[in-house]
Amino acid sequence: MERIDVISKLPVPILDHILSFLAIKDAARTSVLSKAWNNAWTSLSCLDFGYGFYHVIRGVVDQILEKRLNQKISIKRFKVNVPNYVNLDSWIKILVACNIKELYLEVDTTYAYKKLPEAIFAVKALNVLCLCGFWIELPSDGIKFSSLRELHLVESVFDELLIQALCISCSDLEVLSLRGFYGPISLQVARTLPKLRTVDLVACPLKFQMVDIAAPNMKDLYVSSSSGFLNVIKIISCKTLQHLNLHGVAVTDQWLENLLPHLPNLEIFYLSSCSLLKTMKISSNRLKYLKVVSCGNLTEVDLDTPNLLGFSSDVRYGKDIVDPLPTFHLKASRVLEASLNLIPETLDTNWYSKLTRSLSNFIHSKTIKLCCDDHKVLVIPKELRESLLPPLYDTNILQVKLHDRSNYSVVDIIDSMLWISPQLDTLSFGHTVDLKTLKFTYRDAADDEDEKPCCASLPWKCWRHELKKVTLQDFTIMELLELRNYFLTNTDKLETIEDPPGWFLRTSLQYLHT
Amino acid sequence: MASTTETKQKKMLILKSADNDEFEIEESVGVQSETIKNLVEDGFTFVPLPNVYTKALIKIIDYLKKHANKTDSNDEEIKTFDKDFVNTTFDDLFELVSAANYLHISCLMNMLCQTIADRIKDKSPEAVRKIFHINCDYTPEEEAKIRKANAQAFEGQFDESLD
Repeated sequence: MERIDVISKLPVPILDHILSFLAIKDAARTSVLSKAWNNAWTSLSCLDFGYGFYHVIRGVVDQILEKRLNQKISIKRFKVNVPNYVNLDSWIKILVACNIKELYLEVDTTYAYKKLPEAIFAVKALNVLCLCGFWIELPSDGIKFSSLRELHLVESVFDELLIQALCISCSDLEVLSLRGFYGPISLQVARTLPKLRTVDLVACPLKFQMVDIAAPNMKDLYVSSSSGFLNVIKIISCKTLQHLNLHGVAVTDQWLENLLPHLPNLEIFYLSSCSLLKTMKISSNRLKYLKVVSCGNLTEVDLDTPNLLGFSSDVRYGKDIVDPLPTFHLKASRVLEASLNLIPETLDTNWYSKLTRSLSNFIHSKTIKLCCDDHKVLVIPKELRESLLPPLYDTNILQVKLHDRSNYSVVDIIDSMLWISPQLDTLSFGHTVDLKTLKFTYRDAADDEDEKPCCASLPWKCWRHELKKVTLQDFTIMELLELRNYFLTNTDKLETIEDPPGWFLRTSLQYLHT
Repeated sequence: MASTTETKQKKMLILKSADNDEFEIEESVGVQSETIKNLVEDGFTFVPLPNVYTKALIKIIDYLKKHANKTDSNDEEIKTFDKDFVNTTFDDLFELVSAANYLHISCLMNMLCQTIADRIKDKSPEAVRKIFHINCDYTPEEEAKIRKANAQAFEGQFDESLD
């Protein structure tokens, strides 16, 4: 029976929308499917020529643009990556005539930046402009964009005058993104952009010194500088800011203290490689996620953030790393998830005591994620365990990610993790992709008849005497056998060890009992 | 602010499908559709949808409910939901894409079209025809002519598999 060809009966605008997700070569091939598809292809409004200069060299771009021009088809999106020598003027002329809305031009900058044709600035209807690899000068006729919503300038050269002129003419601008640019030493945005929502300043050059933005509705700001010298950031009038991400910026204690009261809506705050920062005091009911990494001179962290859901940071240790463990005060949500990246240069007694102290900062967090290169970073030597207190006795979920793929003993890790955190419900560990998981079930209070608690001196339940059931997932057969022995030797009330869906242990336990 | 709106009675809408089934949903869920939003702004609380059949409407309401409850923390959950949502037969996908187009739900429209486009990417036309049961209505001469007009697009190796 012939199936009904439903897709070819979809209206052309829907086929056009489907084709808009394909690169030009894939889209052009659909012309041969059926007449309906050929109609959709010949009027396709989104032209993505993708990477590779093939289409450009063969004149395919010219041919397709000519057709659109002759048939008076409007072009919604045009995306191309070209070699430096290509003459863009004729294309831009056609694109202007076809009412282009979204323009993405990228040139190869191996030898030089390409001068941007001035004609582009006359495209009134443009909504999105993304340029990469251009030398952009303020056009003599001025900027005609009146409906530009997104401007992305990547690996390009321009000056402050251009940005100022754009900020004045594009009053609908929502997204301003400058990545890997050269020329400006500052970015100043006055109150001319009421709709500005997102500003990205990525890989700011060495000379770039100042960011001064007064956008009344800005939500996201991301500033990254490789120099670490970018030291003037004025954003206190951006009261609607929700997401602030600063990397390699010379923020000071004073600056932070002055800023935060002005950002009552801040929910996500990321700071990385900000080496001038010494004390960080945040008091906020709105803050949900905080990340502080590579801020090596931090000596005091004081967080009064009752709704904080996520905190991530790093713990470094080594002979050249002087940073003492910052004093740490944390008030966060009950469901806070803390993630720590552990980066010791050497593994000695001091590392393990630093690790234990760092972990104990998160004593009330239900979920902890740890990330490190080598499993040895986490295997606390048995003799040290005698003199230290388990740092995470209130934690339920612990996840460990190891970068190093070399062999490790699952028993060593699990034994150490159960010392660190003796009341776990779930422990998972492994490499980023394949996590192995253990789930623990404990005896109910009702199970406790008149037995006296085993380790009465400790404030937590001791898994060795309370564990009733262990479920092991995604372990190899050798690991399952090792773990079975481990748990049988180290617990006294354990009733079940299972490993669904393989049920290898069920079979082997039966053998054990018979 | 959120608490004052919560204490008020939630505004409800009734959506009526092409096969005359009625569904009651919260207004805040429904207005993710531009079409419904425009009607609501004109004061309608009863919204007939003559182009959307019950089967598709049930799935779409599910989608709208899930996406109306988007927060920072349930990102993963929504991703999984979306993945399951598009994991269906092509006939269902085409039905949904028509409905999403009529209802002007742009995020759903993008997701569905992306799903369909992913099945076309890198494939030979023969494979695409088989995957979607497309009837070729060209004569061999016409087809040859179209191929010639877009010759560059047919150069190289393509994926012939039907998965």
